[in-house]
Amino acid sequence: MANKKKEFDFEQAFAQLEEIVNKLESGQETLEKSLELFEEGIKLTEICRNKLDSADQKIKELVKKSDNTFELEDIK
Amino acid sequence: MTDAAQSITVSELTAQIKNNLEAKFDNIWISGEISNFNHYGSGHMYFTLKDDQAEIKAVMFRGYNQYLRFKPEDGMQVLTGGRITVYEKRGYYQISIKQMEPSGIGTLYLAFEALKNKLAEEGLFDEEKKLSLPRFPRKIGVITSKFGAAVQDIFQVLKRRAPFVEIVLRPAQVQGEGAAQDIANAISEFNKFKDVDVIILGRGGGSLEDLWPFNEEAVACAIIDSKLPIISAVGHETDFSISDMVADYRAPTPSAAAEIISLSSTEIQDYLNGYESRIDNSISNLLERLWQKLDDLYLRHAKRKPQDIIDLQNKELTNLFSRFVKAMMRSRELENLKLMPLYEKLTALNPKSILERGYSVAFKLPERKIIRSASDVRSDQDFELLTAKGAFSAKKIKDIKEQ
Repeated sequence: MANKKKEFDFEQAFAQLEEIVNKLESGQETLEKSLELFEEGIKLTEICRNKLDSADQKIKELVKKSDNTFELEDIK
Repeated sequence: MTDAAQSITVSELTAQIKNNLEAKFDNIWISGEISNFNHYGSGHMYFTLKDDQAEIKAVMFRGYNQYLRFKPEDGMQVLTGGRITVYEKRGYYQISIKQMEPSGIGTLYLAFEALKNKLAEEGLFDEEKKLSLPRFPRKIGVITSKFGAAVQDIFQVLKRRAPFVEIVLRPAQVQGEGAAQDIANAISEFNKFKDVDVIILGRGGGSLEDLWPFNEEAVACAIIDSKLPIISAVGHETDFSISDMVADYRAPTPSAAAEIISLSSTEIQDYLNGYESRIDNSISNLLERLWQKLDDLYLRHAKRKPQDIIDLQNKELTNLFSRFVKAMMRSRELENLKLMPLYEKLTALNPKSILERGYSVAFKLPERKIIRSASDVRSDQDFELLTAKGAFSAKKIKDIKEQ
């Protein structure tokens, strides 16, 4: 089935980053927690950067099968 | 049997056709609809006149068309006067027009207006009915001809701006009989497939007839029913279609659609840099606040066992730093350790490292307040000096006049 939702998602990563930064900027977190947030934030930005760099354009063709399911095929 | 003697050449046949046709249709009036209209730099106009059964090539030379009182356009119904001419070299005939008048608005235009009014009455162009476009689409569905320029334009733009975005093409017939239904099917297939974040519906420029499927109700309804946001990019900037009006977003061209929907790598980089510097700043603030707290602590407790307190403080700070640095090491390559200046700044702020550079801190007694000015202490008054290694008592002799 074509409906996997596991792939990397900038939308989600950015929402997470926004949350981390807001928490850090509030200054309400303990040092322990702040360091954790810091680490997480930096890791996330790195993942995003890698995602930007690891760029091979993927193009597929949507093909409807006779049993009404869908398949992604390479473009001929 | 036919032999060469009985046959005639192509030229001879064409000459006979030419003579017959041109003699018979020397001065005629015909009505029809203009399509494939072209006004060349030479000033001549070339187009096709058609009705629902047939079409004929038409030309109106500059010498005649300069007197036209209207601007001919595709889809217009016109009444024309002229004569048939045969172009022998290419073997076709055409009408060479001397006079032309518009005869009402073309039927396609009427149909367009009728559907537009109907959809507007149903409230289907309302802004609030429109879905918003995703900020970072992961996967973009594309509905267009596999062989047109539009598909290549879209792929190119996305490759340049956002190669990390995946593309799912659903090839569709974009002109002629059955095109509207195929486009409508494509939209509903994407909605069943679900795994794209947005759909670009596009085709390159063409005549009104070519673009017509995008003005049909089947396409309009499919767009309206779609749960996935749709960008319509039909024809050139100046072409407006029903599909443009009901879609969630109208892009002037297929390339523009791809441009609009993809945040470029650079834009994403800018966002990331922004987040990163906010993270850096807040950590830097946090640690500075922490220093202050420790300084306060130190000052309050320095009365007793100052060296112990200093040791304790430094232990905490060293501990903090090592965790901080470890966190940095773990999360980044050493060479792009952009936080290094921050680390150095914080190290420099550490009171112990200041003392180790040879400075001392003087405390007024008995309250152990830091002496910040010569006037804080009277002559002959005792005070305390703290060095990196140990503290001792001292006495002020006199003020030294500044030069």
